[in-house]
Amino acid sequence: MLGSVYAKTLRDLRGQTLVWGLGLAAIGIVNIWGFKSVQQMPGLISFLENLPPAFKALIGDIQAMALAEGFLRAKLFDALPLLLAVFAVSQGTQMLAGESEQKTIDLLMAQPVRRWRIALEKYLAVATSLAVMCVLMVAGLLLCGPLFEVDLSSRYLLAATVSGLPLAWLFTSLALLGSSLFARARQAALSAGIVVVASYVFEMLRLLVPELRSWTAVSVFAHHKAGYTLAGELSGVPILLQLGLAAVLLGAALLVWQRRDLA
Amino acid sequence: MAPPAIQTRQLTKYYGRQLGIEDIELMVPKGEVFGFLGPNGAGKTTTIRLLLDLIRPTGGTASILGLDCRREGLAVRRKVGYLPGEFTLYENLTGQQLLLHLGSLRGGVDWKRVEELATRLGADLGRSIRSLSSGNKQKLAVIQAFMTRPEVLILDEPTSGLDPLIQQEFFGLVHEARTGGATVFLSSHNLTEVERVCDRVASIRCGRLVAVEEVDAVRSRTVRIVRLTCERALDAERFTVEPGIGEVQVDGRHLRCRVEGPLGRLIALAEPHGIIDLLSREPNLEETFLALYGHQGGDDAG
Repeated sequence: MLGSVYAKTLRDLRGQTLVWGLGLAAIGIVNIWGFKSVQQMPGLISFLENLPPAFKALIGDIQAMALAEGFLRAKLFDALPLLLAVFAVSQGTQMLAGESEQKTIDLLMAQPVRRWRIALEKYLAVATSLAVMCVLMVAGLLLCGPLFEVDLSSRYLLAATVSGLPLAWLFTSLALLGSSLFARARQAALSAGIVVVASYVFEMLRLLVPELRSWTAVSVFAHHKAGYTLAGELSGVPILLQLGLAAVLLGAALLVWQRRDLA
Repeated sequence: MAPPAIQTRQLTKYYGRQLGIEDIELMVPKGEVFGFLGPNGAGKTTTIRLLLDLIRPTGGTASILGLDCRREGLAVRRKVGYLPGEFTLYENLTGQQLLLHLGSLRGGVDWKRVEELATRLGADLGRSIRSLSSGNKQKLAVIQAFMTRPEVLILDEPTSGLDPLIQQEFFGLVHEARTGGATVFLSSHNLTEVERVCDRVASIRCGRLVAVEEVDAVRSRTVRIVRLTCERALDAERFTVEPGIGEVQVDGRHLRCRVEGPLGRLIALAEPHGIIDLLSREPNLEETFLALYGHQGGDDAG
């Protein structure tokens, strides 16, 4: 498992991938359990319908809250990329800046492997870890859903999880760009983290402020939400947009890394 | 005509406004063991990192075996074994895993060669790197540099942390590499080490090349501080008039002086007094540089 930079990075991440995957599955299971309790509350939907418009805007489709899929969407899947972003940013910024800080970079970069390829393999390893975490989460939900006697469409679970990955990969590209630009992992994490949080805050504001509601095109979280439906269908354009932006940021990161001095 | 193993032309590196190195001109023919001598911060590591394309020059060029270090960095790194001066190894791996990993990045490694090197240096490849002392980590770094029998070896402060017996073995490896046709570029701040193993030596100070000369020429001008004790009282005047002997202090049977070049003349002068004890100390490199080259060189370098 040490034959390439990709394989070694994946190996280094294996413990955290497992813990994060199981953690996400646990969060999902708690939400299914929560839905089981909420489902039994009479008048929940009419209570939600009477909330102020701002709260209703944050919840989204109120009627869908009566369904397990809609409940999970509001409580878990809409925020899944944000959870994955924590992993993406923390690990993504370690990829290059972390190695520079730990002084392992000289020995690695002195090997006959192109610089951009080393960065790309590290990126792909983090992207794979994110995918594995999602697989673990879906597996946990599929296995535990029946225990709570909650009717959950496996197609929906897969679509909702898969649609979270492009945004997580976009944030990984952002983290790699930070890692290429800065010699210190902390600086890289801070810069990438600020962009992630700002994107999420913008999406919240977009939902709360009527004048901003039409600014869907510039909100990556809005594209993520548009990427899947309650029926478990994936929407190509929003997903491709996120993947395209991820590719652009990745390209920029590789270019910066290829040209700069090692710290 | 075959290209030299290593060549730099007006190689210059500034870190912002701070000088790293300036106008470094080096030409190392194939099969030579070339010393690169200088105090800490003189610009040795900057030069080496430029050779390996880890950093980019502000001006000038560098080539290894005729390949441009900047444009053909990948091909250069295929031919070079590198031992960094300041490094950390992946602590979550064992020595064996690290060498397998680095070997596979080089397209595979002859494991028998690795085992042979490990045996000679007394390296335990099965232990976690986290649990190794700095000397044992240095052994792994030496092994990874030599394991693919590269055409050019670039070794930055290679013996730091190695005990004297292992240093002996290391010098044996350098000698064998040269016998096998490899070129060795050895950076050091230890004059004795360079004198022991190198054919020629370049001296760098404050980012600028001070001299490139045969090791024998340097050796003939090496300065030592000598303390000598004899059976009978010594006469200071006997020593002060002798060329190459200076800063003479005599206290009865004890003599302290500074000797440039071989010690034979001093010993000959003291011998009639019955030498009991003789201690020779090499001055630190800064003192040596001042003695060898005076105040040549510029201001601070990175």
